[in-house]
Amino acid sequence: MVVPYGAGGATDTIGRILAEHMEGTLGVPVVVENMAGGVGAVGVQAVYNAAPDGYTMVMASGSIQTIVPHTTELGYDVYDMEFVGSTHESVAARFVRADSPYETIDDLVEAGTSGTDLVDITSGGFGLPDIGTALLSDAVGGLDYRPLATDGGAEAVLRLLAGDGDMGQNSAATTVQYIESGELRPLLIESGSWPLLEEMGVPTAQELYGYSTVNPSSILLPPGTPENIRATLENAVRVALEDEAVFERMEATAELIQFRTGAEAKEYARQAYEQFQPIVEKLG
Amino acid sequence: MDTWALLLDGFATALQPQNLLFALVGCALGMMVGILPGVGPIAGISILLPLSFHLDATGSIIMLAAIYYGAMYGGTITTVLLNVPGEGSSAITAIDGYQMAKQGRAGSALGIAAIGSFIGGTVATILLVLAAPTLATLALSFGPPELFALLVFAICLLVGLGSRSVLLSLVSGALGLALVLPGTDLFTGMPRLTFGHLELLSGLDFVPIIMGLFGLGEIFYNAHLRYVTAHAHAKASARVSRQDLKDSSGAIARGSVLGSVLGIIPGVGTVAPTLMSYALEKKISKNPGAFGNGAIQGVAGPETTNNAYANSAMIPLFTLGIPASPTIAVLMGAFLINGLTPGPKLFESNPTLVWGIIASLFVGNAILLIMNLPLIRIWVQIVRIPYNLLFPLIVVFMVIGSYSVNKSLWDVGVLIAFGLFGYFAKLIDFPIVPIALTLILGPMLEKSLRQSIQYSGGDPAVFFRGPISTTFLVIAMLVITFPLWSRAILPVSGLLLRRMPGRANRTPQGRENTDEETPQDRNDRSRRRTSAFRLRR
Repeated sequence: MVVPYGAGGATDTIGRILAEHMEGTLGVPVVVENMAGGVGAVGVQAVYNAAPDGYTMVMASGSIQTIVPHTTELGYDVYDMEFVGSTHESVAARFVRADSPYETIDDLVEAGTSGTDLVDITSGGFGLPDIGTALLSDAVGGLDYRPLATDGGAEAVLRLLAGDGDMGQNSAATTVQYIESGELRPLLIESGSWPLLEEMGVPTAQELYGYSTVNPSSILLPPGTPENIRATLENAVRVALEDEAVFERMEATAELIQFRTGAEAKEYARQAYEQFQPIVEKLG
Repeated sequence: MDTWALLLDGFATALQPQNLLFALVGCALGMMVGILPGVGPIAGISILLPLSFHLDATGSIIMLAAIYYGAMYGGTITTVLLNVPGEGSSAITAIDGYQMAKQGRAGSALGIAAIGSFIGGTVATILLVLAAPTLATLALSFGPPELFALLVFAICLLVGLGSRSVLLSLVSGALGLALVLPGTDLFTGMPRLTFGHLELLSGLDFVPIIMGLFGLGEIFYNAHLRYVTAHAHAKASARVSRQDLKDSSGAIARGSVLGSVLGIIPGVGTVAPTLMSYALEKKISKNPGAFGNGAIQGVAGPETTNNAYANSAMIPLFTLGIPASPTIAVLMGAFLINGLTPGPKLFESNPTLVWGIIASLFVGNAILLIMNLPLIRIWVQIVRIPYNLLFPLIVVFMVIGSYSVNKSLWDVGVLIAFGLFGYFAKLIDFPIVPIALTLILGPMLEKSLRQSIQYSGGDPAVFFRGPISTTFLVIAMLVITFPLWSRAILPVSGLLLRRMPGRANRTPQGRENTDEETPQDRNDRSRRRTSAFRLRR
């Protein structure tokens, strides 16, 4: 199992927990190998070129399926590959600092459409946070904002806490503790869903503005892998996620853990891929 | 006082036989990782990260942290003895460490590095215990303009390092910056100068470049000179003399402070602090000419700094839940795997674990010192191995090392290409140190500059938005214009300085890098030589 990122991230952690359980179901050792580089493209490319015998798969996370194909000329097409299934997706929401004057998303939009130049802390480039802001801006008829690009994740949260910007889209892993401590205020859920925030009464971008920045992960096989092999692996993933201990350990990464079949995962990723196309073209 | 009680509890955890063993194993593995060229702490921790699934949380995090600071020391060994930096943060040590080894002072260099590492690591950990919450606020106030100002300051200090000519240094530094260009543009997300190579999407990895420039280049050059027998003095004493300690006490103290402070600032990375320490030591030295010729301060400063940094970089992780360097980010993975989210909450929800880990930093630093002082005797024997046996072995390790990090032959190609470059540079006496410096500082410089411009809307006033950035920029201006205004006031200051004989040899430092040598320079240099002689006695 190739993880196309360095060790220690959420996708890597989930991949390792999954591999450990799959060993039991499949009766063969499942080795996780980190193959970082090219924002994930190097690892996916390697698996794309591997023998389609089910012994090599890749744990691809969102942007490599939804954004990178728009921005980079790749030697492969993700949607030619066989989708085993999906274990998780990342949740994300738009946050402001606790002492921000914007109490609700309406306050923020109101300010941004009436002359206030908002500083948006993003991940830079065509990251999901940038796409989220662009989609929001489109939905409200043009938002005045300028970006502060960071490496995303921890750095973005740090800059938001430091007051270097007005708003930012961030994922769960880096923000949960600040949501609990009240130092960050969530205004709008921008991923498909985020149960914790929904309980707090935070609205979703889907219901208010008709968009979401979906970030699904998928396990992919080389094109042409026989269906029976794919189905066996799909079942092993399903069984793993039905195991409560596995589920709980995966949930500790703060990702939204949810099993999807190969067909569902492919459809889900492709929808996001198509939704992002016009906005990436507009930004680029 | 509560803190002390918690810390004592922490020691109770860290000194449990099992955790002590984890710290020991971590230190040993870390040293190995450091010694092996190309395999740095990031790779070492990544490879062993899966162990966290099977070990308990405290033990595995203690071990992984020990690998980190163990590697900081391990890298020094091959750097000093063979001029092959085991990992990036030792690169700068090569300049004086290797010279010391050539002069038969390898034992002193390694010993002072061990002592400096211990002191630096301990000071940083004390800081973590005493002032972590306060320092966390500093991390927040260190935004892009502040980081940019700090880097400008550092680069001004570094210009002319390791070369006789400022012009050549600038050319070399510009080359280093050019190497930073390929990659994915942080702001547009578009590939930049990648020429269609997927490998270049994440940019050139600096580890194989530095290994090639310093390590492989040196080996090619030695082969060129047909060295077949050891020329470094293997009979070198393995003891650190009192004079060594006296000479480097200042450098160790400054390195401890520098590393500890920089560790708090997210995004600086392990290598940059060592460069800044070296530049600082050279700038304030009464005898800057000794740097590059085996100045013990050039080893003590950076080596202290990197261990202080490695320990202090835990502060943002524990207080803000933010990984300050890529290595710490991997370490953070070990927390996540165990279902722990690093951050201020962890102090309340899991004090035994947090304080156990903090106490283990003290324990681990002591282990490193105890383990290394006797081992130096053995390490210095490495240079006894004939070069015709040793060098092929090192080359093999370098190739494996650069391949294993990303499992990519591309990096091996990069290693060889820069090995050849390093060799030719040595032939024509072209300075390579500035390449390494700008290669490491370049990405940070670009990012902080563009971030500052981007969110201020292009208003340059952003660089003077607070005391931190303003101070750095003003000092940087003073440093870089020093030759101008020192010349302007030279007649006056010359008169003054003549009255203070102890300070007289300070005058040349701002002008040491000028191309032409005036009679006065020559005069200065001989004066410096005498004072160096006096210092040694």
